[in-house]
Amino acid sequence: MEGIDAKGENGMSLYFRHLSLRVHTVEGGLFGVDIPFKITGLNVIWADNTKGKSNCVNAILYALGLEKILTNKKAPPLKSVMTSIIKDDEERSYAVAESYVELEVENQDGSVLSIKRQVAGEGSTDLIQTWDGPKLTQPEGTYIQKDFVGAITGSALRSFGMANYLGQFLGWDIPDVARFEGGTSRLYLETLIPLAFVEQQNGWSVFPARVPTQFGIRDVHKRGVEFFLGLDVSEVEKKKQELSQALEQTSQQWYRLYDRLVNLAKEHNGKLDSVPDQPDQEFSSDEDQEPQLLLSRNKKWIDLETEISLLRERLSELTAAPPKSSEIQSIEAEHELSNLLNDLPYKQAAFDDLQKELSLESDRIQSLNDRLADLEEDLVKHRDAKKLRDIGSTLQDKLSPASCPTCLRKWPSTLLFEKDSNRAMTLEENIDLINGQKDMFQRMKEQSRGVVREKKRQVRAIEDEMISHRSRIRALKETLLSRSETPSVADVQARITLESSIRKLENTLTEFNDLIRRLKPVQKEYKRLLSEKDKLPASGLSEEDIVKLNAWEDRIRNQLYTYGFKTCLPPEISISKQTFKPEQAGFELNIEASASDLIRMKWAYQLGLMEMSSEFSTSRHPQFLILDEPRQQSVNRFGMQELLKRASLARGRNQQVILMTSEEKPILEELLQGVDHHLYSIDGLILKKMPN
Amino acid sequence: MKSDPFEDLLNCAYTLTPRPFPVPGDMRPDWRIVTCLMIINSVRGKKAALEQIHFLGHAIRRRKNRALAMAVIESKTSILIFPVRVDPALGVALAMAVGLGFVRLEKGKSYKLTDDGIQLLELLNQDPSLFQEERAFLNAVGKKVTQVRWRELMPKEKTE
Repeated sequence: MEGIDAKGENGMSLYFRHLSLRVHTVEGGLFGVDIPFKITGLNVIWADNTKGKSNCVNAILYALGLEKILTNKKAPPLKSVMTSIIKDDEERSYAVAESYVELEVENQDGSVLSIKRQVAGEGSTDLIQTWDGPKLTQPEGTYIQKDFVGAITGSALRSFGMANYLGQFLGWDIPDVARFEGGTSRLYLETLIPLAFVEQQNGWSVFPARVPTQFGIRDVHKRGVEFFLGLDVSEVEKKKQELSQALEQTSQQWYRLYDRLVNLAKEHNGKLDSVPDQPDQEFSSDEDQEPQLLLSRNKKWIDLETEISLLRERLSELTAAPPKSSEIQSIEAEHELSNLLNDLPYKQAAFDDLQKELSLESDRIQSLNDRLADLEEDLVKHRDAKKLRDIGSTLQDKLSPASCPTCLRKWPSTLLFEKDSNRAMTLEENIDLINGQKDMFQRMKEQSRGVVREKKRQVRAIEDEMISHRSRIRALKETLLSRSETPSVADVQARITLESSIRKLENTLTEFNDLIRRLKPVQKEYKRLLSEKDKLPASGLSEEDIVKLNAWEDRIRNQLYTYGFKTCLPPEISISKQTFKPEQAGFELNIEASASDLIRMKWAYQLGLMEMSSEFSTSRHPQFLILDEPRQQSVNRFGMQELLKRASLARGRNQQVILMTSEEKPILEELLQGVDHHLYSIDGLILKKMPN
Repeated sequence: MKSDPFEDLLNCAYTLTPRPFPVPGDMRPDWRIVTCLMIINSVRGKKAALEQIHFLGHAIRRRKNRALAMAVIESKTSILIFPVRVDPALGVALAMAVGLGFVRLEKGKSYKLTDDGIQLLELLNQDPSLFQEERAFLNAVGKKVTQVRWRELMPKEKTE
């Protein structure tokens, strides 16, 4: 399984070559330390406990501009030996005048970067100086110097940010991920690098890793694992977000057009027919169900085109008809007038009936509103009673005893003494009942509102008809009074009215057709986006992702065997597909495992993650792992030796493991027997006096 | 001969299981007891006469009642629009509160909270979402319903 050469195949590697700390004191001269690393394989850095080992790990992160992994404070996360007072081997103290960290790193292409960052002294701690070569180990060379800034807001994006430069140096294409508040953000390096190192104080008990959460990134703990393993899920999540945004925009576009159609229909007291009222509903492909705007005419619904034709017919009849004699005009006018005068009271009656029905329906809605308000009030009381019960204090228990303290009978669950209290509903049953009733009344209310809307439309239609009738009656009366040979007032009025109506309806038809024509492609696009979103895997994990996670699980289990894991049999361990945390039979391991087993799990977890690069070319692990004091919680030596053996295999994969330890030297020597490694021991204080 | 399906239906044994009946929220003993405690705690001197408890207890039960009670107390309208009902359930809840040791009757006249009663209310105060509207109402009017005011609102019937 170790076929693929981790370096070069996947790109993306960061190797540490050399670390240097320098402290200039006011009166004591120069102090410092140089730690050379072998860029591949196991590096064991030994120093006495409390002599400054962890300071070295922190210095590495500080130099890279990633101090936000350790702290949110502005001050450099390094011990006071580098910022205020330093002591020598004879315990003499000296004030610090200036101090800095230097780090030399190499990437997958063999390019070397030297970094220097001020810790104390005159210069700014925000400034990070870099050179494009091994200035630390080969100072005589000529290198191009560039300045960057450390962890200030936006440095991940701005070209002068160290994080941005580091990302490029690593060859990482850092994705944008979802934020809690909406929108996206670059996946900060500070959320990724913790997966490649475990710090002594708090790092050993946290899975996946101790990741800073102040960047507001949603599910930030998972993002690092997804990125390192090259899971499709982050791409899937990104795609889901993009699609959601597109759907939202398309939906808004759809509703803007739909609302204009609704308003158009309202203007004519009409209604839409065969027009979907939701963006995800399709237009019918049936020819008999073309979208139409219907108008209410004589208690029937007719479509716009038919109405326009009828009006045109009437107009052409009027226009074509020869001028009538005044006698004929009078007879016709009287006839029409009589019909209209007969018809008007019926229209008025219909109008009055509709108004009464409207009023009744409105009253019904009001009473439904009252009922809903009562239900809501009762629901609040029940919820309060439930919260009271769930408080769970002894006082609360006293409030609802099982039996009466005086007569010892069962404590009643209701104050309705005429009923058998044993058959009262429980709080939960009552709450469900009220919610059910609320739901029912809300539906009834919605239905009533629909009825009210329809009746209002009918009322307006009849009103318009009555207005038009009255106007016609006036015109006819004038005609009868005038008795001349010229075209009657009634006829003229009829013609003008018809022409105006036809024009208005034709404009409406044009607008309607135009809106439908624009709505159709929007609806199609919405459907397309919806179907694309449906195709994405629900959990986000693709089949390939599952294969990778299972492979990682196998590596972890395999290691747990060798490290002497005792909490359970390694096959019972799994990695949660939701949280990427280790679990035993579905429960988080933190709860079940002993402290030393948690440490073993952490070894297996981190090493396994790094080893995945050799199995999957899509892995984006930076190929290094820093373990600060891995023998915690008195994990036995046997387990530790197996860890060292496993870590040493990193050389064969062109990966680098840096292990900081203060293990007793004889024990360490024993543990390292037969293990391929590079040991660098620092006796006494790490920061020692140096020649100036 | 074909059997009559109705006869078959009538000739077998039946079991009738009555369905549980719903209970209005203000008829739950703990809800009512707690509101009694809140009422006693809200009035002036934290000692309440039975009439005060019934007046406020009747008001506190419904949103509409609270609004009417406020209007009456602030003298914006006559008490005739908000006749006080003596609620037997409230009487029972109050008796339960005394029996459980949350309230005691002083000199046969007024009700006062015990230490347990005070502690229970303090416990509930930690969750501001509990009894929100009832609390707001009592904060607004509790101290205004003094015994003197009560007598003005409900003068005793004159006897010959």
